[in-house]
Amino acid sequence: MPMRNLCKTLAALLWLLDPATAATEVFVVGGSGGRSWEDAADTAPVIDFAARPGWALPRNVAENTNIALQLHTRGGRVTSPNAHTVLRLNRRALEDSLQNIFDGDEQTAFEVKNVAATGILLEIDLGARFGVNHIRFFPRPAFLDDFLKGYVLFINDGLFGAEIIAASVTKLPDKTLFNQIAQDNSNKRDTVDVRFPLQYVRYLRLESTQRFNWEIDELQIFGRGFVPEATYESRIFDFDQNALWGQLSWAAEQEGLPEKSRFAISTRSGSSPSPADQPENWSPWSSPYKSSNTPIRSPAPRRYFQFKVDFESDGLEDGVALDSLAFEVSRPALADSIVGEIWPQNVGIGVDTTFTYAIRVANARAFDRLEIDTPAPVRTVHSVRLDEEELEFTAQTEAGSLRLDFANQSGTHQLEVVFETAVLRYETVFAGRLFERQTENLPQEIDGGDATTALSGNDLSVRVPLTGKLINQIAVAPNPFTPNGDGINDHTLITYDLLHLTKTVPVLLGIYDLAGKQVAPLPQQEMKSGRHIHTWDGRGADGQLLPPGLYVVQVEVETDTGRERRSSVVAIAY
Amino acid sequence: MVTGWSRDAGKWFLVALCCTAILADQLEAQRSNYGSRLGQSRGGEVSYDPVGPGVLFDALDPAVRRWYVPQELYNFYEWKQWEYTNYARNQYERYVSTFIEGDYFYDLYGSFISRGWLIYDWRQQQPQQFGSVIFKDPKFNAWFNQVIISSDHKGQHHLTLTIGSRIRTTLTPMTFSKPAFDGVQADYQSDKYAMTLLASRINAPGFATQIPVETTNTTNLYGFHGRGQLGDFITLGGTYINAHNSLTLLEGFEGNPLSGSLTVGQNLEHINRLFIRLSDDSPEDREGGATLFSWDIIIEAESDTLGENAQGEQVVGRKREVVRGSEIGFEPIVEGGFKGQGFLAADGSERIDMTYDFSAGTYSGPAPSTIRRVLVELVVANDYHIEMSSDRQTNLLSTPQPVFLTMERAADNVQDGSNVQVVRLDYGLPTGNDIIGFNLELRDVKGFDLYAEFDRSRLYRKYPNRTFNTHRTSTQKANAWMVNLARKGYPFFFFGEAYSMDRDYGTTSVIANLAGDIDYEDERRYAYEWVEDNDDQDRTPDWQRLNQGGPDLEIFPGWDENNDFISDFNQNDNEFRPNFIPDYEEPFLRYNVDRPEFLFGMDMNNNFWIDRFENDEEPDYPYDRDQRGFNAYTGAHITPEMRLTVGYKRARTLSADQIDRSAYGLLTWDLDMGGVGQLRLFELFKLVEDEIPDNLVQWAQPLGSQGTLQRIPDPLAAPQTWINSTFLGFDYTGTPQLKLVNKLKYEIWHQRQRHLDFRRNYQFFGLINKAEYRHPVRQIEVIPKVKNELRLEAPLLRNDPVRKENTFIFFLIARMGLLTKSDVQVGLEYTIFSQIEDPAPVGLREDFRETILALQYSNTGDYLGYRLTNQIGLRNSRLNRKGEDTFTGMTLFITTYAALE
Repeated sequence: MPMRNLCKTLAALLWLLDPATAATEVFVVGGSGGRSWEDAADTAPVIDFAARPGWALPRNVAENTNIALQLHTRGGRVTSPNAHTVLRLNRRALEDSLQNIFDGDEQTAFEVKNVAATGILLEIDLGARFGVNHIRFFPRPAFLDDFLKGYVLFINDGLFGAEIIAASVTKLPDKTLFNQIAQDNSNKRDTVDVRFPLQYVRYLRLESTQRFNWEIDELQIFGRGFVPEATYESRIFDFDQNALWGQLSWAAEQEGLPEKSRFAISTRSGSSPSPADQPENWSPWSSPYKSSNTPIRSPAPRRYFQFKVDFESDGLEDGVALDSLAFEVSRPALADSIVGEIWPQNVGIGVDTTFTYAIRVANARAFDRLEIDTPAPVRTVHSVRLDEEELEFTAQTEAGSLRLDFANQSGTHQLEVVFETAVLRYETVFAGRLFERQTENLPQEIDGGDATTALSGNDLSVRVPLTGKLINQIAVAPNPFTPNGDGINDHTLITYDLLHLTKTVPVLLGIYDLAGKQVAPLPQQEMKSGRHIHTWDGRGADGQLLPPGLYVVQVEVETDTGRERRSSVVAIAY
Repeated sequence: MVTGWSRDAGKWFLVALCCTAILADQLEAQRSNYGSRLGQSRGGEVSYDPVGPGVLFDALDPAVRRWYVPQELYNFYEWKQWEYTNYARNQYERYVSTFIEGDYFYDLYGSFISRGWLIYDWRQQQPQQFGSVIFKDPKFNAWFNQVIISSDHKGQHHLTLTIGSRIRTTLTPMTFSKPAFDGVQADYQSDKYAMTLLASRINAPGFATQIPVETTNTTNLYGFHGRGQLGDFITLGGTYINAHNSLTLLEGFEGNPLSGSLTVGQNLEHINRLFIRLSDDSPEDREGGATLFSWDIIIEAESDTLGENAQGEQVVGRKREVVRGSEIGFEPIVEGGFKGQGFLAADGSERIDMTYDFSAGTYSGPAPSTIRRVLVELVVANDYHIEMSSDRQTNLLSTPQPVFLTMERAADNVQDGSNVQVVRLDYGLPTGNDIIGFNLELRDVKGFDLYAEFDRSRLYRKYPNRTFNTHRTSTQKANAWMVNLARKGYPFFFFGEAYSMDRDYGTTSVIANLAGDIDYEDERRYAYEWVEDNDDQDRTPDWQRLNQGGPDLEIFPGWDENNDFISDFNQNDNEFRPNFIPDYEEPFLRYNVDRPEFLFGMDMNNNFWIDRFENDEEPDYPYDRDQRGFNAYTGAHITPEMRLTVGYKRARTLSADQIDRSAYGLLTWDLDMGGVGQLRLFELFKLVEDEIPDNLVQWAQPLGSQGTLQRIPDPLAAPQTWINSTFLGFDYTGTPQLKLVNKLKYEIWHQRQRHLDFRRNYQFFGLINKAEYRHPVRQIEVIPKVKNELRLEAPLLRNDPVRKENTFIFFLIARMGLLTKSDVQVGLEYTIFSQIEDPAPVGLREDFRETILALQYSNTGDYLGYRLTNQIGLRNSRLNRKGEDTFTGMTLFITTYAALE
């Protein structure tokens, strides 16, 4: 993820997309001209907005800062699974009493007095993981004799068995999950000061081991460094009407070793004010965006939008600071709704098939372009019909997409496109979008659904049989070919389909003679699912034309489940 | 008026009385042999075989008096029903005297077995409420110490039946191994063949009480292992173990008894909601997790229908239907996951949750009460882990929460979608599991020994529905195998091992409580292990399970070389006076016991712990689950005492494709220098690449605190590493009064590639020198001792401080005999602990000096058949920590020990 010094890039982007003039607005959080990170935050328990004004970064604890203060504001807690029975307090009173340990007030304390009990446990959740190397606790100045005469102190790093510890609010936690760092059954000091090598700590467990009266005025925790995990969740942006999302951009800077810190930005959108109240009206969080200047993947048009940033750090000295984040919004949406479906939905793998792509557009303001993502190049566009009338169009086919331009349309329409292409992956989605070319409005994505009763598909995905093979077919054309430089059939095209892959894999293409000797190695390439075409000029590894004869073309793909090879025969003639 | 008949009758009555008196005399004569009083005498022997009611001579008296049968006790005690009871002279006696206690028992054929006591009785009757009964009389514990053995033999054939509560039972290492099996074991052995049968009601094996433990819901375990010798070298064995839930309300042969039945609790309601969870099977890499393309549900239902036959009469028919969710618009609620192009994905800690709600208003399929089977079809790819649950598969909290159990996992750690496939999940609740396995042993075939074993575990599930008595069964299978080949020769030797164990290979049974309920989350109460986790090989499993004892609070695997079931590092610990301080930290004891870091051993999994000291939380299989690999070494004796070994190990995890490979060489030299001492040199060199975590739970002894078991995550300290470990030991025993012990250990882990958190070189240098001299001066034996421990360590993690510490301890013990059976011991221990770095790094202990004085009087003598040892003494300690106040402590004791020898 490119993360360094993107501020300038972002500033330039903002200049170009001035909201005063463009139809697309840009919302900026952070940076010099954007809304402040703090104002735009909904929850940001361990995000520091003050260390670098205008920036958001995970909290970097300085030496001599008591981490225990404001423990509750970041979701931490102090509990005791057994003190309420010993002290005969109800849970609420116990909670109030325990708060005194972290209130910074030397007049208040958590007191265990006039009870003949040992083994009282305090469980402290810091609310996040911190680098900690020093813990101290003491009684109030007026009750210095009531210090803990015997204690055992344990810590847990917040990873190892953390779920079990987090769930054990009212029951005794699994002792084996904690590391014991200090024990003194004959403590003589009023202030207990425990120092240990710097390490991540989230949970502490303090156990009293003597029956004398004791109290804790304050329990202080010190350490340093970046917190290893922090999450910033923005407030929900309300755009008053359905809006479309454009690009997402950000600028960030790293401190320390780059490989030891990272962040991940995700977005979601919805049609109701609160995802908590009506989760069904909200999309799930998108997968993390891998690079800046990426189209927002959350569904649109929607009225509400939210983003979150997950910071991670593997080292105490290493962290990422986010300067600014910007996202494009276009409103109102191009249409009230655009629903599309495709038919047929079950086709042969790699077989050129005629598809009908139906779109129902409701209350469109204007559109004159349709773009459809296709897994393989579109062979033919048979027709484009608007409300069952033929529509004039110009088609542009590129690898992976079909673009159709036609006269500007508005209102409610039924659009139908018939084209021919092949499907190479199970559950291929023919995502599409409508544009208005004359404006800079953002395109509106087509939602899968019941666009027409004439087709029974109801979504945009197409399935192919799961055959278990990853290379579908190798086609060589022309075959034979004559690389004699006469300009006719001097090259041949090797076409093959890679199936079902969800990411790129190494593909090795080789030409072998009939003795099995490789005569023309083609470079290894990283390929993903799709139809791939290579041109071969009949030359061998040494750059010389190969003698006439039969040769074997072999495609080898190396995947996580193993290698798969397929071959075909090509003939060279002169 | 008295009539003639009356007079005659009176005479006859008198005659009859006389006869009765004569018979009574005869009975009196027989009374001393009470054995003949009971039963039927046949040919001089008394038989107790039942004969049924017949013509009883004594009952032929034409008397109106009510006649009680049997009358033996009345005769025996000369009681009469109308007799006045006066105990003034003859005191009351118990109704039945102790020497004739017992009952009569008859077998199922009606044959008399014996007169005695019912000690153990396990029977299951079906169909019947509370049909499974186990009775263990308190005498089972009191008289027989929880084990009853009956045996027989003839010639080479031996048969033994063992019933016990804590039987040490092993069939094969991968199928059944328990330190305390509670059940019945029948063994047969001859010269060539051997066979074992096991049986246990594992969910309630019964306690020794007068009240039988009765239940309708049982989980029974049956096991078989047999082996036979083929030819001179080959032994072939087979194993079958099955544990299944059983409902005694069902008829005896209803359904498949091996796959088990749903308990009352499992089958109480039909399923209303079905949950499916997909997650990343290797979350640590945070990518390429579960990828879900599409889903569907197939519902099979069966119900009664009312129809008409050809004659127009109404008849009840059976309607079967199979419905796909996609056909009736029955879609799950899908939550979580990231949306990709045509799929949902769950990477790292993400998960995709799907809920099918049969009770929702939108559901239009067959009524839940008619569903016999539910199949969920998912098209998935990449590194998926699929779990399922339902509203019938929960914990037992007041608000039950679903508990997810694994249904399917992806093989390897595929991340590119190349394993896209349709997965069909046949949902049900666990009702039973079994293992079928074979093992082969070859002995001394051209000098080679071979052991091979293959096992397949199967988990059975059934879809619950109380409408039906029989239920559809689905099966989940997993395999495990191992091969060991060894040749022990001189000078050359060889050993090779290969193994594989699926991650879901299991020897754990889900058991029901007596009410038939199961908390699928609570392993401690609702799981039964066929192979226990018992790393220290004692009588208590390390984990806590129902009726199995445990958890074991102190686990010291391999640290008991004197086999007294007490860790050699904490020899003075016992049940009555637990001691949680290891001996190397305790005054006086610390002379003999050295810290484990200073010892040498093999660490084949590279997790910083010597393998034989490791304690994990897995069943004690010979190899780890979810791993496949091999290890082979060969070597030669350079001299009889010196051995050189080279080997190679490779293992990978099946689910995550993590690798652990190492090439190693080991030189061992153990030289007994007669009359001088013993010299030991061990040199180990390894080239390692290890990605497989081997997490442990080890006894940790933090600084100045009492020890406890702590989870120790594997730091994966050898990503690309060479390791060298050298140990040199020399014990001098050349002079009877003087004993010298010297140990030197140097270990280095060198990271071949820069690691962000690890030091380039982890180094440990430890040197221990000990000297002990025994010098008798008249009646006083004076024993001065010196121990010095030097530790120089650069820890693995960069954040941890370098340790440079030296501990010098001087001991002086004087023992003086008093009279004949008493002695007095006076001891002094003086310790100087020094940090070589000044000031001490954070987290390490500061310099200190400690003086300990002890005085003890001991007397040993016999008393009431016991050997008593009385001790009176005191121990005084004074600790001076650098920069702190002096701390003094005192211990006084008066103690008596009683022993039988």
